[in-house]
Amino acid sequence: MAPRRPRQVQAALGALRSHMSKFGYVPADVPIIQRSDLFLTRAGDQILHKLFTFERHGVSLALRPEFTTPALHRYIADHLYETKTVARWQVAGIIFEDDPADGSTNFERASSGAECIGLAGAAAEAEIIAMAAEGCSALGKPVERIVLGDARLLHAVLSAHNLDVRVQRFVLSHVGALTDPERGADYILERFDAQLAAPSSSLNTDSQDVEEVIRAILVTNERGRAMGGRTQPDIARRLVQRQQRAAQRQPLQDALRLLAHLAKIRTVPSEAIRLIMSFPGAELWDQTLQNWREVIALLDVYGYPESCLQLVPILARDWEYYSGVMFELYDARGSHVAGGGRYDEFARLIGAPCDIPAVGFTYYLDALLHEMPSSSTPHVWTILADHDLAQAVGWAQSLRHKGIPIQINHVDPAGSRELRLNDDGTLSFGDVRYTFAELESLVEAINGKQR
Amino acid sequence: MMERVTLALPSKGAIADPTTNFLRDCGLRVDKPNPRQYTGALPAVPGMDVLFQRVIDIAYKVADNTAQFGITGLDVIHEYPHENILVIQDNLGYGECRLLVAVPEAWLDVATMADLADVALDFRELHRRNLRVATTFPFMARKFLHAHGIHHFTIVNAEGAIEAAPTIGYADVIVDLVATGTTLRENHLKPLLDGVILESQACLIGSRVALEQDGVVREAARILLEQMDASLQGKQYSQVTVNMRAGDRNDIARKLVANPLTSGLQGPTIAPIYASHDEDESWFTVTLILPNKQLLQGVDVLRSLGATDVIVTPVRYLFMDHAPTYKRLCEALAIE
Repeated sequence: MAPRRPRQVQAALGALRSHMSKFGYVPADVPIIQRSDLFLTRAGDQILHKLFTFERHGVSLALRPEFTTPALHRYIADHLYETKTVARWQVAGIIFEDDPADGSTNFERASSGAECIGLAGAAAEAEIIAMAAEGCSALGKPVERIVLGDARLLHAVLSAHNLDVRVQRFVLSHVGALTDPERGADYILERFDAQLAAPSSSLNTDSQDVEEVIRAILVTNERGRAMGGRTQPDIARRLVQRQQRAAQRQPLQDALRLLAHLAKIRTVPSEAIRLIMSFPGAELWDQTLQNWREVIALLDVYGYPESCLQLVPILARDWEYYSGVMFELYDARGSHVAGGGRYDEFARLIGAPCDIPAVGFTYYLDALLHEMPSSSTPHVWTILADHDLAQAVGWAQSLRHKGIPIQINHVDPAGSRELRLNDDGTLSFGDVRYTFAELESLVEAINGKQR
Repeated sequence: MMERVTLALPSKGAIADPTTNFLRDCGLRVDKPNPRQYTGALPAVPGMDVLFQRVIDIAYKVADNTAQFGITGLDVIHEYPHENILVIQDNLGYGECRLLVAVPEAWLDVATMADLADVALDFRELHRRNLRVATTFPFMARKFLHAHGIHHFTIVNAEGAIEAAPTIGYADVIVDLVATGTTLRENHLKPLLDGVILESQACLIGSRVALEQDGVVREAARILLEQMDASLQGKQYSQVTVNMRAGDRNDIARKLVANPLTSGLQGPTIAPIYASHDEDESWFTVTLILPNKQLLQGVDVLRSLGATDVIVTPVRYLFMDHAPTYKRLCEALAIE
C-alpha cells in the first residue's frame, strides 16, 4: 500500500467531489458502523475475510469495507424504490479492512465513488463510466483505456447449460481461473469434483440410490448425537445432490470450454462483437450486444471513441455481484484506476422485495494518486505577540477576513518574525509598520510577497 | 544490563510437568520450594529466576519483556503473534499435538475442507445462518477457513469442553488441539483429512529486545541452549560397545568406516583387550556412536563383521563443536 499522504488525498477527494457534482451527484451520508450481516451478503466473498468486525451486546458489527452496500441499503431502508426515485449519490471517506495485505496496522484508507440507483439502461451506464473517466482527468490522470464486459453473457452461458444454482455460483466464483494460465478450465473442474460432486471418502456413492441414503441416515444414528446443527435429512439431501451434480460434469465441461474461448477475446468493440456473434448460440446474447452498442455510442458522444475502448466478455471481477455492464479504467501507465458496473440484483440480497436498477463505480485512489506531485500547502502567516493579545486577535481576524491564513504565537522559535505586534498596536511587516487604517496596504504587501 | 533473568514456565496444563521433566533431563533442574508458589529458580543458569504462568500468559510476559525467556506451546505463539516474541527453539520434542478442524462423525458426506465449504453454503441457504465454529484459536481458525474458501462462518469463542459443542448444539464444528484423538472419538467427532492447521509442540521463546540489547540475557540463552541442544542431540544417539576379533585393528577400522551404518560420528574408537589366553588373533573393544533410527541395522552390520557382546547405552548429552540453536539465534539477531 502506498504511504498515506492525507493532504493530497483530501485534495483529490475535494476535486472529485466537485467534479461529480457537475453530473448532479450529491454527497450521500454513509454510516461507518453497520451490522456485519449487511456485508456478508455481498456475494463473491472477496471482502469477507477483510471485514473489520466487532461485537456489541451480542450483535456483530463491522466498519464499512466499501460504500456500495451501505448506500444501496440506505436507498432500500428509505423505501425510495417505491417511488422509483433516481438517486445520484457520490460517496467519499474512509473505508476499513482487517488484516491489510501489507501486514501493517494501517486498517483504513480513503475511497471515493458514485452510485446511480433507480435508473436502468445504457444511459446510466455510459454516464457513470464517462463521469468516472473524466474524474481521472480532473486529477491529471486521463484515462487511456476503458475495458467493458458484461455479466449477463456469462450468466446466459451457464443457464443455457442447465447448471443448478450452486454450480452456477461455483463457476462464478472461480471464473477468474479461466484467464489464469496456470489454472484454466481443468482447475475449475478439479475443484468442482472435490467440492460439489465427487463421492466423499466416507461413503461409496458409486451406486447411490434412495436405499443407500436411508442406510446412511441409520448409520448417523449409530454415531451418536453430535449433529452440529445439521439434520439427517440435510445430510441425505446433500448426498443425493452430490450424486445429481456429478451428472452436471459434462454440461459444465461444455460450458467451460465455451467460456474459455470467450475469455480469449480482448479487442476493440466492433471486432469483439463480430467474434462473439460467430459463436454457436450467440443469439442468446443479443440483449447484451445491443446494450454494449448503446453504451459505446453514448461514450463516443462523451468523448471516448471506440479506439480507446476494449471489449472483454469474461472480465474477471466480482461476477456474482454484477448483473450487467462491468468496466475498468486504466491510465497511461496501465494502472487500474477505477472500476464498477451494474448490480441490479444485489438489492434483493440485502432485503429489497424486488430488483433495483443500480450502477456504480469506485476510484482506486492508491493507483490514481501514485506518482502524483504533492499539492502545495498554503503558507500560514504568523503574528508574533507577547502582549496585548486582544490587539493581536483583532489583527488576525481582519487578515483572515481578507483571505490570509494567520496564526498567533507568543514565541518565535523559528525566528521568522513575519508579522510583529508593536507596543503601539501597529503591526510590522518587514520594515514597515501598519495601522488598522492601512489594512488594505498590508494585505497587498503580504499577497505581493506570497506571489 | 539486567542482573536477573526470568524464565516463564507453564504452571498447569498438558505441558507443565513435561516441561520440568524436560529441563531436568537437560541438566537444568527447576527448584520450586512450594507447589503453590509462582516463582522458583534454575540453579544451573546463574541469575535466572523462574516464573510459573499459564501458557498464554507466558507469551504475554515475554512480549512485554517481564520475562526474557519462556517455554510454551507453538500453538499459543501462532495464535498470539507479537513482534517481540522470538521463537528460539520450536522443536523441544514433547507436547506434540495438532490444531485441526473436526466435524461430527454423523456428517457422512463431509471428509475434506472442500466438503465443509459446500456445507457452509448449505447453512446459509437452508438454515439462513452461518456455520458456527467453536474454538479458542479464533485467529488461526479464521485464516485457515478463509484460505479454504469458507467465508460464511461465525466464531463461537469457548473455554474448555469444546469437543462437546456440536453435541450440546452451540456450534457445528470445532477447531481444537488434538493429541491422541481419543477425546474427539468419545465425542463422536472426526478430523477432516486436510483440516490440520498446525503441528504444534513445546517451544522456547525469548524477548527479542532483551536478546538484542542485553549481553546477560544472551549469555543465559547460550547456557540454556548448550544444555538443551546437548540433551536433544544426545537423545538421537546411542553408544555401542562391542568386542571384535581381528589380526589388526586397522582391518576393523577399515571395515567399519566403509559402511555408513557403522562409521559413527567421526569413526570408531578401537582399543585392545588383553585376554588371559593366547590366541592367533587379538581381541579389540570397539566403541561407536550410532543414530537411534539406524541402531538395529548398525548392530546387524557389526554382527556380520564378527562383533559379540554388544552393549548399548543411551547418550545423555552430546555437545557438538557448537550449539546449533544458539548459532541460529545469533544469526537471527545479527550478532557475533
